[in-house]
Amino acid sequence: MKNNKFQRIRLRVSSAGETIRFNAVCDKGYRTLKGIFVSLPQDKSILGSTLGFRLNNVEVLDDGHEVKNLTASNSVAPNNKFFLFPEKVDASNGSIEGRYSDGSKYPLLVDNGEDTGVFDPGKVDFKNLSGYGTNPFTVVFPYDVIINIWLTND
Amino acid sequence: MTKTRITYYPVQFIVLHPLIPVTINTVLPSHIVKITDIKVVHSVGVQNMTTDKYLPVIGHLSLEFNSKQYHFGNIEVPFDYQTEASDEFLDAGIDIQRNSLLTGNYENKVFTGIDYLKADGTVTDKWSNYIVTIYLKTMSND
Amino acid sequence: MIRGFRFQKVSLRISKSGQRVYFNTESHKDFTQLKGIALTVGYEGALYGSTFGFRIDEKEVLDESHEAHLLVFGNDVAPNRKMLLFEIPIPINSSKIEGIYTDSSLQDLLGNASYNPGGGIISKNDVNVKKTYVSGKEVVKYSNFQVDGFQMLSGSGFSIGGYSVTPAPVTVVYYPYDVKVTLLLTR
Repeated sequence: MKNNKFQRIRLRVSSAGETIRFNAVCDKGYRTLKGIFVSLPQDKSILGSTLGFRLNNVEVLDDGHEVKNLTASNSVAPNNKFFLFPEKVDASNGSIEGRYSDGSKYPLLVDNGEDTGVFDPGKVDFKNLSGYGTNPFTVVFPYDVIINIWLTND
Repeated sequence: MTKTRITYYPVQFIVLHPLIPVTINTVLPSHIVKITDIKVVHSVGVQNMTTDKYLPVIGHLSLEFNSKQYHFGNIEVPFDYQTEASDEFLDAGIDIQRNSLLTGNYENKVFTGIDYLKADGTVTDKWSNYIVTIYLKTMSND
Repeated sequence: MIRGFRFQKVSLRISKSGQRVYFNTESHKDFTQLKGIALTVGYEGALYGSTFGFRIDEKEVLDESHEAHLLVFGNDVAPNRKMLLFEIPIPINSSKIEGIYTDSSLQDLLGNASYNPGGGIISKNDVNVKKTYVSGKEVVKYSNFQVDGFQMLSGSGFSIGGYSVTPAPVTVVYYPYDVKVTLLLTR
């Protein structure tokens, strides 16, 4: 038995702003979830996209966690591409519940109704402003997201 | 009880003329006891004069700490107008004497041609004032 | 059960040029150390000249003139380096966290002629022209942010310390845009 395994979870995103919930089970025989790397085919789709997940009902990354912080371009050395968790995350019998949201509709802008952390002084309806077509960065759909999780026996 | 902690102290200066050096002369706040690292960046302004996103050197900066007792040497200041931050600082490790001066000199090295300077030495409307910031990563005991 | 780390987040909405948004919140009660900070900004053009100040328990960590673009980390940076990391973690204990984001605040200073012919150091009073951390309004609780609607009159000069200032043209930025502040906390 090897001590490292890169498990992949593949999601298909069909439309701008889509949210995908997914469930997965960590491959058996590994004790620790060491890191995560999210692979996206288009750079334009990174900004504003979020990925949160819970492992065995404990939140590891909240739903608003930006995919930007979990990915890296080809300029980054292969051994530095994964986001390594700041502590040991127990993955034995790990059951993952995740949520991926595409961010290309209104990059980084959230509806006030959904995110209480934002105070909108002017009650601006940004969806009607010039410069805010849907999908302004012209992300092409569908695209596949590959969530790579790094399991070890550390 | 006071405890030493890291803070970032920016010193900003404005460049108003392509050929006149900028003299830096300021007292650092007394809570700064040590400068561990230094980073010098172009802040804003040069983008009004060029469509380039990157220029390796727009000027040279010399810095002296502790009322001219410690020379940090010359720093080449680049222009970098891309969404790419780097955590990189220059190592310094300078113990700061209380109420001492930070002094220095900045010489602009770009946009010195006739497009930017009139015969009488004043600048044309193609010239844009620009701001350079010296970031001092410091140990502070406030 | 909770994990030993947490990314605490604050979102801010910048609705107009030159706007200053202040927030204050409390660090999550179960965590004792602040290890890093990063920003995400919707549009590249919004970054230059915009500034972000940050304090913990009323102690300054980042001066209000700290440039926002130095806190934004792109795709060419390894995931574990996409933060301004504090080598000495900042101790927190349900601490007061304050931040202040000012859109294109440094552009406003470019026309300033109150220096020697070649230029010179910009005084803290000019940089923090909108008065650091003082809004004159009641301090609010978590998830409500004060907004000081100070707005420049675009295209026309306004006065800083008695000198007339004409803002330089800036890269086009769409308003509103959101700024996300991410803090790495550990136990």
